[in-house]
Amino acid sequence: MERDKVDLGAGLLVILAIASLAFLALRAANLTRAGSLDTYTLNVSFENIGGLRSRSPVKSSGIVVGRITDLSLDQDNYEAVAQLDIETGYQFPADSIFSVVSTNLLGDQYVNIEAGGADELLGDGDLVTGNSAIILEDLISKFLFDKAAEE
Amino acid sequence: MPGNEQLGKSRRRYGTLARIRRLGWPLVESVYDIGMVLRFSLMVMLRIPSALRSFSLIWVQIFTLGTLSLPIVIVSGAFIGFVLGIQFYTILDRYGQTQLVGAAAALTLFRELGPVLTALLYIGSACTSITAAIGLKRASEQIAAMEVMGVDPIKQEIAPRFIAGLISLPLLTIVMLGVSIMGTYFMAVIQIGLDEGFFWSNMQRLTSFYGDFTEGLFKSFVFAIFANLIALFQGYVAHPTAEGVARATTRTVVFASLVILGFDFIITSFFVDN
Repeated sequence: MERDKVDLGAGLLVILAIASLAFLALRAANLTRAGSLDTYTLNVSFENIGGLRSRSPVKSSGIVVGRITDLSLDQDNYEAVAQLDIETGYQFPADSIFSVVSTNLLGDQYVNIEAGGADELLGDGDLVTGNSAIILEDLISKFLFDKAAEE
Repeated sequence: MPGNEQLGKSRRRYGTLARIRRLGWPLVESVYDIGMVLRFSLMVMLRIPSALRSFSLIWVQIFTLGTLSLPIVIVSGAFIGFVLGIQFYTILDRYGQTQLVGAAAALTLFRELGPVLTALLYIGSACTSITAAIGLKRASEQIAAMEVMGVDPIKQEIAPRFIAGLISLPLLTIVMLGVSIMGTYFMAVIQIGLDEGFFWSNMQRLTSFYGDFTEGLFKSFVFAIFANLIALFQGYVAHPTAEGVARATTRTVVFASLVILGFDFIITSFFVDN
């Protein structure tokens, strides 16, 4: 067997393994989408984001229009601020309603945008207030208290 | 080579105690075998430091054992990924939890399927070639010739293969894991159309590098030790005939597969306890 072929082959194995290890270690987390589209950033503050996570989708009428890129806590008013990257092709009126909703009862949560009617459009870096996630436990306790009050 | 020629030699079958002995012969035989395997293993381990010095021998074996197993590992990894994508989708769809497909596939692959399946493929493609190569060298009396020339066959032929196998199998396992995760991604996200963000974020959230991944890597390292030792031993003690080499290759596949599945269970139960 020629020397070159052995070196090439063994090197290939090592390189493939290192590339694969890097992929697994990052678990493709910080990979930007291949050929990703241009985006602009919106900041939305929520009283409670529930189970929202980084990379959760942003949908409008069920269509994915962007992704959540960052979640942080605003130290001034203790509200959660989600940074949304919206594809440039999608524009929303300034009075659109942002809310955290669930895919189903136990499923993951995402941000839903209900488009408003204003002429003015939201631009890059705007900060808007959104509707909080519905916390199931809160709903149940509310229901129980209401029931107790009725009797 | 002191002691080498006694390996595989027949034992005394006639004598005063022979009849009584024959009753428990299978048991005694297996104890002899275990002792032989142990002595062979120790001999290989002791030659590792001196074999490490001739790195070019190991490098060639990494090519033969590792790189030549790459195609089968990559292709089967992709198909395993596809299958896991479809299966977890249909199962999790019943509970409306399809966003967990990626996480479920990754956990299964990291902890069990990755190391075990790669080891089984490695036994099929690399260990058989180890046994055949060593067995043929014995059958064509190359090993005896080496001993006559004063070259240590264990240092020259066995130890480099062992070290190369120890390096190759974990590397192949990592490649297999990467490929099969990409396969699951292809099936679940691109074909079925699950959300990409949920797929990756749940996988990240529910699997950990230290724990899930390192457990799999530890397993594949242990598997590498046993699979390679069994293959080398079977080749070394093979009867020096074509028939003998054929039988030795079969025994390699059978024993190595059983030992690996057994150790998989043992290691898993250790990790679960913690």
